Amino acid sequence: MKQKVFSRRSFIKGSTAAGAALGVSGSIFNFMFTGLKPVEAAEETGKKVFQNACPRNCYDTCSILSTVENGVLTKVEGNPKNSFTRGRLCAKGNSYTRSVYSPDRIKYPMRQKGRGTGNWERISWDEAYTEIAENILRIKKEYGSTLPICLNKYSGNFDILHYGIEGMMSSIGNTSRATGTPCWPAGIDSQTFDMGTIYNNDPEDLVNSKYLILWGVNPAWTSVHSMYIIQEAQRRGCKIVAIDPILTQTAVKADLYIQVKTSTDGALALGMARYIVDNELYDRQWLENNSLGYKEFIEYLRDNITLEWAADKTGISKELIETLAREYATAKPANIWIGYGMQRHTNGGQNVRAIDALAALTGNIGKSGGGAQYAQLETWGFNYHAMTQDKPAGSGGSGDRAININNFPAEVLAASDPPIKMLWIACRNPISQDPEASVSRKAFEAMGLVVTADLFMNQTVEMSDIVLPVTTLFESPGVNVSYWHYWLALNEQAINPMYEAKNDVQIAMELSKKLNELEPNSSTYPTSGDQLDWVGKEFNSNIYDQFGLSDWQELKNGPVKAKKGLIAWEDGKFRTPSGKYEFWSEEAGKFGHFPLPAYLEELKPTKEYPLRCISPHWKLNIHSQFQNLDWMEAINSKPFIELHPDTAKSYGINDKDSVKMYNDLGYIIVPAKITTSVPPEIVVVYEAWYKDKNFNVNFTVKAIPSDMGRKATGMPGLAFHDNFVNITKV
Amino acid sequence: MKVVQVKPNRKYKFDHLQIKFQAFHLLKDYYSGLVWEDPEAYNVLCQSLDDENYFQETEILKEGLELLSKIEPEVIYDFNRLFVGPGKLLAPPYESYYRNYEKLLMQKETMAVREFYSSAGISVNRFNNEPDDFIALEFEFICYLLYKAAALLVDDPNQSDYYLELYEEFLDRHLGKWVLNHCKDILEHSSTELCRGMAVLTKRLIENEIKKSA
Ligand code: SF4
Repeated sequence: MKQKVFSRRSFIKGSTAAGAALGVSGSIFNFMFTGLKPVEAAEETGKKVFQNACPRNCYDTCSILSTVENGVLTKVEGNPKNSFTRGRLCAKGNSYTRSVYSPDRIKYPMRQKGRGTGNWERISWDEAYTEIAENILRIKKEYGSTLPICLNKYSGNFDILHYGIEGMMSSIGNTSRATGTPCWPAGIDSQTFDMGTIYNNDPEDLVNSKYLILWGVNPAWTSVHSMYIIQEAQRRGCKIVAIDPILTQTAVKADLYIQVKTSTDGALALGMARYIVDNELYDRQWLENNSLGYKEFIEYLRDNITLEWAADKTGISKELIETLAREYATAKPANIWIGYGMQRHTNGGQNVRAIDALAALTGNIGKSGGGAQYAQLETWGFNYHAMTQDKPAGSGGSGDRAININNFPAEVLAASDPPIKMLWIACRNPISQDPEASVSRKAFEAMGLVVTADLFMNQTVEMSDIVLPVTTLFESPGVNVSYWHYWLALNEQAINPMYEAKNDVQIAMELSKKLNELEPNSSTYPTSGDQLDWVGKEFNSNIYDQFGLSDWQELKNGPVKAKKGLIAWEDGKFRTPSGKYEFWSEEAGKFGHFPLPAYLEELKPTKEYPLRCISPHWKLNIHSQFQNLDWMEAINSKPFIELHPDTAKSYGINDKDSVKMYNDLGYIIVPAKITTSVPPEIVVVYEAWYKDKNFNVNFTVKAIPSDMGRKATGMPGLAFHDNFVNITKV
Repeated sequence: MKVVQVKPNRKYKFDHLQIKFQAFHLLKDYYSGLVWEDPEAYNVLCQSLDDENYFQETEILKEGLELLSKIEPEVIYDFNRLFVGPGKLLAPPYESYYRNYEKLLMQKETMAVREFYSSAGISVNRFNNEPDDFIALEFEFICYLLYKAAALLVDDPNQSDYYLELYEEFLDRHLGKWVLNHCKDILEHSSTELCRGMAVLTKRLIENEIKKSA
């Protein structure tokens, strides 16, 4: 039989892959290797251990040791050198080998023919860069600037090199940026008004507390390593009090659980403060030396707050408020950990200020075992070299344009002069995690080009034109710190990037190269550079000093902990305008708030929507990450709605019944889980993205801003937990 | 190009190797994202397979081969949904997906394939970037073994037989252990005739080869 040569066509657009040998096919007379090769030298084998760090939006930012055998990641474990991680990861962290080697990972750059059609074609990186670069240059020409290009990037990966994505945007000119943060801004502003910034004690110091209030925080699920420390404190005699509308796993382990009516935490704190004042349990000396406006605050309490009022507001008896206040004020040192959930309300910022005030009144701030813990950014003093790029000369516009991340789709649609035409999405799944999911879809539909860089297919990728495969934390280097503990860890590249995945900085470099090829000087981003060198460029003498390092390479031996600043405000130098703890904050006044920690009425349910839906974090995910992995699916593969038995009864709902939860914005249908862990007036649906399920609690969540956030983060936060709904059995 | 002089008594065997080579090469190309532009190519393949009475005539095979000549525009999307992404793959083209109890890639099943390649002096170009047990690589390896067997047929029949043994062993220990399940997934999920046709062809090819080596 004759060997006839046929020409071939590639499924891969723009393919120039070496050895693809388009046109002819190899024959038995002339075999050509393409994907294989004769072994030349022995490939590197053996076992190696690498330093990694979990970059997720999680308190714990664990130090990881990764075992690599023959170039394959075989094991991840907590690094025992980090006394916070203590050699353990959580269920999510332990699943890392599964995300790296999941068959479902996005492997190649791909282009969708028709957004949302699921008709994808594989393209080469070059093809992807060309299309993106041409689009950027076309926009610039048409609108006279790159402002129609909008970046939406946030917390999917907090490694410092990932700020190179923002750098990429700066390198092409002025652009539109999703600004603000969805999850914690109200609390940040509160502490900024009170103390000048967010700054918590080293969480390992929690063991020194004699009394610890866990206020609206569920570390048993969301900060498992802190939970160990809390239980250690408990073993040493510290009384643990949990205040939460939901009987969480943390509350179950506390010595005292107080079920507060949602969003009335400020009333509880002010009631306690009133009791403390009336009984002279406050630390006058500390207040005299360290604070501003405490007398005005006391006056406010005397004029406006009664324990009866607080009891009525919060649903907690007057006696219990008194006991709590007395115990808290007399135990020394006493500590409060303020969670992020409790500030996701229209009065969340004021509520946090009221709680801070308790810590200040009792003189607990600046002390080991004391304080009002929220978060810290003290260890984040990097150079942000990857992020800081010059804008090219004459690229148009007079500055970046802020688009509120918490009302992103509506603002994208409303943007004019120039309108927004292109979205770049990285480290985020906004269609799943943002409120008003239907508006999100509309905004995406209005775009000329949507580019998403991600690891897995999700709702946002579904609505994109081009998807770029990115590396996991094990496939590119970086450096990580926590917004909670005080450890600094290097993230080493442990394995080769699988398939055609690239790190975001590499993507920025290569896109810059393409842009400059097509139009010289259109991007300032460096077009080459060693990623590890770039990690080195993030360090400076302050960080070296803070962590007792002489060179960042020392981190290859393991993570290090800050050597100083572990007790917040120990020196009494607050970063407020007055340099004192400010009960009375002119700065708060400037942002339209009452200058004192005063009570702001909470939002109440309506007749049509009589139930409040809270959408807290779920134990097996972080926002849209992790729940899609098979291990997590094996434990729980379905979303559900938690209902109190009385609520269920009044709606004629039995356990596992299908329930429609709805409001004027949208609905979800999920099975009922009847439990006394939630109070009758609220329902709980954990926020998560489930693979292959049309479930999204944000179908019902409106973009209602929380009271604070504008000062520190540029935009107010989101009142995720002021979501009022109705339910019906279906 | 190496020209092989074939003596008449070896002719039959050589033709046989060539047919197998061509069939596996077609599959290797296909899984690498390359398809022959000319439907005629598929016909030639069908004919060659028929000529040699290599496949038993069955309705299903005929149907499968006929489908091959129909390249629909939907094919690429279907192909990507099955094998490439970006969504969850409907028929992942990786051995360990079918053989690892956790359905993960780069597992010990993958390493077994790596070792097999290495015993024949072969490794993967994109080492540790692409799983060694990606189906296109396994088919390429098969083609390599057939090529070696053919090339040595005249000068060194013993060595030639050695490569044929490796060929049978690789089918027995690897391709034969998972590709049929993979084809089942394709036939279950594919929406285009080309991909279904290729699955039918692949299935039949593997079935025949296993039968013969058994
Ligand atoms: S998700 Fe949090 S607790 Fe789990 S491994 Fe990562 S940092 Fe640690």
